[in-house]
Amino acid sequence: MSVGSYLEDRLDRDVDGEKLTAILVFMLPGLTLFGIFSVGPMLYSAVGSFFTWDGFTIGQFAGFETWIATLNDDAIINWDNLLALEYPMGALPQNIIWMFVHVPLSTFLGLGLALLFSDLRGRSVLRSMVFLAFTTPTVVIGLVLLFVYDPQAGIFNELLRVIGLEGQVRNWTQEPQIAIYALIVGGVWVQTGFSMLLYSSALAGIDPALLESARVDGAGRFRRFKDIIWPLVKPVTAVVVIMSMIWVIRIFAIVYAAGGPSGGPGGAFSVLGLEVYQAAFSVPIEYSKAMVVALIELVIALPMAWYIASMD
Amino acid sequence: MTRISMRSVSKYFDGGDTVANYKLDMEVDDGEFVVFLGPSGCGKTTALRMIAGLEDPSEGEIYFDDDRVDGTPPADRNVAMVFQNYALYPHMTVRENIEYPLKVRGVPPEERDERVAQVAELLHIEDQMESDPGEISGGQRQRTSLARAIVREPSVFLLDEPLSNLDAKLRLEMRSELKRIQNELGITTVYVTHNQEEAMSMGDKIVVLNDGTIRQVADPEELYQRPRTTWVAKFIGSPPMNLFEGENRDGRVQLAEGNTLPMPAETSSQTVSVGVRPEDIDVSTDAPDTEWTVPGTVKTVEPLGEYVLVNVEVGGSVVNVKVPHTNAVAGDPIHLTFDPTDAYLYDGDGELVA
Repeated sequence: MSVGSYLEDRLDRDVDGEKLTAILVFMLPGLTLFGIFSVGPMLYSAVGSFFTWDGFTIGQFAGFETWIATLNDDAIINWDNLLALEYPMGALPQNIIWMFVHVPLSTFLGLGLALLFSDLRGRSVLRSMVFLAFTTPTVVIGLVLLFVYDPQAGIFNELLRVIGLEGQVRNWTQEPQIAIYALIVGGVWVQTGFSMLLYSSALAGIDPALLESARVDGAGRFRRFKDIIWPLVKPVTAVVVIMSMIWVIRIFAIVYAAGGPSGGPGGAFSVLGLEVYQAAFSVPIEYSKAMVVALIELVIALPMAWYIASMD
Repeated sequence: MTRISMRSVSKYFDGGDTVANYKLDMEVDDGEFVVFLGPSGCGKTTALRMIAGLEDPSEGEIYFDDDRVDGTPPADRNVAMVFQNYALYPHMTVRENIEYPLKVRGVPPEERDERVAQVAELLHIEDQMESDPGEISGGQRQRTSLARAIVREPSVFLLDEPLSNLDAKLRLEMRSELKRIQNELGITTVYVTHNQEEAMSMGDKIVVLNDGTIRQVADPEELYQRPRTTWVAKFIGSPPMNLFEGENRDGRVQLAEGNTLPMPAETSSQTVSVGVRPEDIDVSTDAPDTEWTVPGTVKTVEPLGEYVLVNVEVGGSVVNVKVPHTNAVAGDPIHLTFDPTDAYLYDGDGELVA
């Protein structure tokens, strides 16, 4: 199908040539910015990833050389550790593990808090407190995590001591096998505020008569949730889940603040964003590797963004 | 089957600042169709919600037969309720909506199908069963919501202004339909409305409420014939009863504008009101040969086809008169006459004397 006939199909019948010109004229400023700052760099990296680079100057065509090298780079995917299920597994698997732990946790915590606060006195104060984390710069969250997990002064270890779990006291962000989960908790803390806020407004939008009707029909608390509330907040769940996934794929500041440019001990909680930064801005500069990793991120995030954008 | 009793039931909101209901005492007999009638904000919906169990009374007791039910959750009362906005579950089809109460109560699937099919037939919605509530008309939604309420054969059937969102023609149709279904099933029913026509046409008994208290409990005939207070008299009828206020002077009623009327009955009250329904008044241009008459000036004449509504100004207030036809035009001086048997006498507290 040609572009012309595709456009004709998508546009209303009463859009003629003249109108189309007008539409394009008005869209021009937006399209220009979108082209220069979004589409342009994407295409630039897509093409650039197939060339060699000397610093920031383009060299010769290299084919899939960089792609293959990157996917075999231990910092990106550590195949041996991955098969042994041991950290560090490399930024890509770690980023995906982060996603699988983080997304369900923050989604259900958000929904749980929204339900808890929905008919509570002082809910706006409680909501603000939970949402505060989302408004805090993620670098700060990373630093706060360092304080929280500090072996001597950290509140978390102190808590363990108080409840009699001295044996568990450790430097949580420096233990390769558990450090990533310690950081994920920080991410969940941030994102729970976001999902709670979205769920709160979704819950407020449910007609109370529906829940009363279900009560009269004989449904208990759990059935009302399962049969009425959960199906009705489904669209919000889709938004929350995908927004969280995209958020995790782009995560950088928490990791950088908590573990420095290496991403924790041996890169135990390194993520894709950190590797892009490393490749592009620390010596030796590997510009094409940065492009490849960025493109991998894009390939994961783009379909989700597309799904969100095409939701009714 | 079930008899509902409310004993001294009160409901306060905002820690007692708002009184929704005050000392309601009433009975709904087994199989009876009772209508709560009152203006908006009179507490009729709150009273219904207390019977449903969606609100707990602040004081008083509610009994279903001999069991005290206040404090029992709605699910354990075997009541069914139809909400003003129907409250159909938007993510379920019509069939799933109707089936839901059965499903929650663990009725086996074969029996569910059978009972759903039965009520669908009773309410003529067999063709909409697989549609979503958003796709069907208001009337069909109303029927679906009724079907969902009666499918599990409740012992008490509660309806909160169920017809107010329908257009006039559909409302008439559903009115007789509802009455038919209630007759057929014989379920004790409480129906809340602000529409007196609905109340009069459907109710076996009408409970008139205002400011959270019961003003009168009567069957439709009695409510119309013997409104116990001036408030009820002015609430029932369209247009409602005309009241001539005056002083009790030497056995006659001295009206504010200087005319007098004979006293329709004995009373010692100083201030009295004489009430006459618009349909019981006649108008004549010549001075009539009776002392049951009040002079006035025609303000407007509204020919409504079925009857002519003449609005007559008498001493600053307007009296509505319904006559078959008249030659009077605006500005004419006119005499209102009525038969003493059609006149009601209310005392200074607004209570009916005779």
